[in-house]
Amino acid sequence: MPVGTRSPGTRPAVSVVQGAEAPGAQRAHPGDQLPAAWCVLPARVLLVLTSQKGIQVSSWFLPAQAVFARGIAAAGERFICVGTSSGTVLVFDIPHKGTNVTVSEVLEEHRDAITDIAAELGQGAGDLVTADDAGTLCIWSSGEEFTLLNKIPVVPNIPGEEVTRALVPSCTCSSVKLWNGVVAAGYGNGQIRLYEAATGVLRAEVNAHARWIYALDLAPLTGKLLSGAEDSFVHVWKLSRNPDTDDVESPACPLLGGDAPTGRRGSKAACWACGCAGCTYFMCRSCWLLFPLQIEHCHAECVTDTQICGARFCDPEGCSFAVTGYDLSEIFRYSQV
Amino acid sequence: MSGRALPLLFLNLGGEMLYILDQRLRAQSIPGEKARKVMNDIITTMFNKKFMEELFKPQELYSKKALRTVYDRLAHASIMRLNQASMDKLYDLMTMAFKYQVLLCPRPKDILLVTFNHLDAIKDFIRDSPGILNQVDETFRQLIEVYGCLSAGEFQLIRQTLLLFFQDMHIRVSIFLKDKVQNSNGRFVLPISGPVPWGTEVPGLIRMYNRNGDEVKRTEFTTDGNYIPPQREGSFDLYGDRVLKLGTNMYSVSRPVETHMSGSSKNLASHAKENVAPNPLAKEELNFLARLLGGLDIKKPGGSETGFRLNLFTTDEEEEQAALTRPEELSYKVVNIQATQPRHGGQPLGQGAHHRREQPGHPAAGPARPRHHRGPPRREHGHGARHQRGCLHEHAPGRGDLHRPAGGRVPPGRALRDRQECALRSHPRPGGHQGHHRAAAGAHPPRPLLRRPRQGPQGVPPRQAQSPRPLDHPAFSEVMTPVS
Repeated sequence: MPVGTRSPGTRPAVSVVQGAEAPGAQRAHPGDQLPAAWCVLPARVLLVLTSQKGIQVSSWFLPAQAVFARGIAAAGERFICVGTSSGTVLVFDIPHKGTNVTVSEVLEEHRDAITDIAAELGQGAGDLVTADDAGTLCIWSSGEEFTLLNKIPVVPNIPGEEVTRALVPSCTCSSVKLWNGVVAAGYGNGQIRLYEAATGVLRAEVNAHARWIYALDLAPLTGKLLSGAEDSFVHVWKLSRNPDTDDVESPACPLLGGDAPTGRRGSKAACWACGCAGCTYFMCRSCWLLFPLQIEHCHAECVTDTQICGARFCDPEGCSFAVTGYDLSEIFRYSQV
Repeated sequence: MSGRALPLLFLNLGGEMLYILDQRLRAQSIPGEKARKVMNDIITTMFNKKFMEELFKPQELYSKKALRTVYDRLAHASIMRLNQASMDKLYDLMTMAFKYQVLLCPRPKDILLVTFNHLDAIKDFIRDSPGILNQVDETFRQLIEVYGCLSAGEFQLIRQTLLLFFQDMHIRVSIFLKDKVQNSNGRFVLPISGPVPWGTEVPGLIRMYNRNGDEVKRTEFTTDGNYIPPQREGSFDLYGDRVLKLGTNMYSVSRPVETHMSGSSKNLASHAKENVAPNPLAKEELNFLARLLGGLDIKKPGGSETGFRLNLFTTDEEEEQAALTRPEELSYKVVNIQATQPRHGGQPLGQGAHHRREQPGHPAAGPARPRHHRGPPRREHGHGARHQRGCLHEHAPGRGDLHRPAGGRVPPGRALRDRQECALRSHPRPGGHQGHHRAAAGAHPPRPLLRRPRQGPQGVPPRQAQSPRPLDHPAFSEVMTPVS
């Protein structure tokens, strides 16, 4: 879709773009978070479309047995996962070349319709998360055979029982994102929750919106989180790890072995916490996962009289984002100046 | 999309229709007996057992056209008649009101509360008739049974299905404009203050937990919104306080209801951009209608009861004016269906049952009703004789509906729809009407919005733009003759 250029001027800058209909794509339906998605696999880039008649992967047409399909993600090196209304997740094996797409596996852990699927390529264990209508989250490891790592159940609403965490019972999980071992989930009751993918533990709960959250997006390079909901608001959050708490045990970086020195800031290529080399971000993954998760609010935008149906960052740093809404034929783009 | 949205759509739109009719009956000072009879007849027809059975079967929402036809029939289920302009206005008001209610529902499940509000009001209309009351209660119970245990996600899907149905409708309603719930561009105002839905927390709090589940940090953020906690949850029982005000009667005798016909969006292209590919569901849709309307018991007024005409406008002149100036893109294309066998060997149904859409070039149309022919003179095409059965011709102005602007320009894409309707309403004829459409001046062949691949491994055939064969169902063989 055409995106406007960055507008100069005072923050926030908005450019309004006429939404063009991509050939073969229908007008986005309210709430169909992903009727279509670009799936980027190492070997090729595919466009996956879902409709009531089935699932179409580029030019292949594979009918599904469910009433509808919802939630699409590329997982592992060569898989595309699609969720269905019956709760099953179909895993398609995409060859490097050619048209021989097959259903490699059917994941049947969910009992309710799948709402969204998110994946992180190249992250090893815990690289796929699936969410459903009841609010249940399942975290998987992709591969020849997908294995279930964690199942985060719906928090039951037992009257009288004191629940120290998650005081509000779960609602439909409408949108989910996976980033660096963190599951960010948006719910129909306006909450955003952050879970550790490896353990399934709830780390943060945000009373973010007053209505159903339709869209979540993550900017991978900075950990910025975007949320859009029916209450007309779009919020930008920042995820980070906070080393300055008592909750951290002395991190032992597996590369160095033994106790690692803390508090020493390394170079970009060295882990901040343990000083080991070979990190993509400022901290090696093992150390990263040990620190407690934080989320802070960065920015809010109100799109007047519009129920937001879609929101996406336009770049991997999260400096600009685009927003769509019900009954809106325009795409609004916001840029940080 | 959801297969459970149709009952809610039908019942809520029906409820709105009754609110409006009730207001107009009182505003026009129709005698109490007659007014009550009309309301009772319509409600009895609406809640007809067989009709409800069909309705509750899981199925897709059908087109605006099909649904409009049902309400057309419903409104004429008694001794009351409505002219086309009034019927159009009624339908506009109904749909915009329900669109507003669906949009503003705090929780997806609250759509059920809106429905219950309508049903509560309907029960109040017929409180003196225990027989009909039973019928309504029966439907109430069925609603509770079917929808009572659906999840939030399923309700949201229903809501999205309904919103999709109402997408791009921006007719301005004066009562909404006055109350500032609708903007002058036709969009509804979405408040960012007030109570949050039941089950939602007021936005602003961030809680962070350690690995053991203990809360270790709390921060807050602020926004422009000004929300407060909800008071209490509405009741989903047969009787109870619904709490929610959406779906209650907002009309009263002193507040006349008007619509502003220029309410179409500035971007007219968006109206023409409907899916113009041949609709494979068209046949299903009309079969469904035939089944549904087959269950509707059309009341014929008895000897002593005289029919009357209800006007949704304040004067007859206003109604005429509205008919002439209705923008083309807002005209409803109603399908004429006779869902019952001709009662007396082909004679028309009784007074007030239906009013016929006039067809262009129809020599047997009878004397032109002076009221509807004040527009630009109709072009004669010389092939009127072949169009006896009311084929809708794309470049014939008038076309039976009275709203053609002087320019007579056909929006692209109508050709295919008209062709469809044409074939469905005429007698089987080899070769169809394609010849005429090729001769259409200036009409471009419509380009389908959805381009499907040529073929796939499953052998999905490419769509072919051919007119569907006329249906064999007896429902489509006859067009009504005019009510004099």
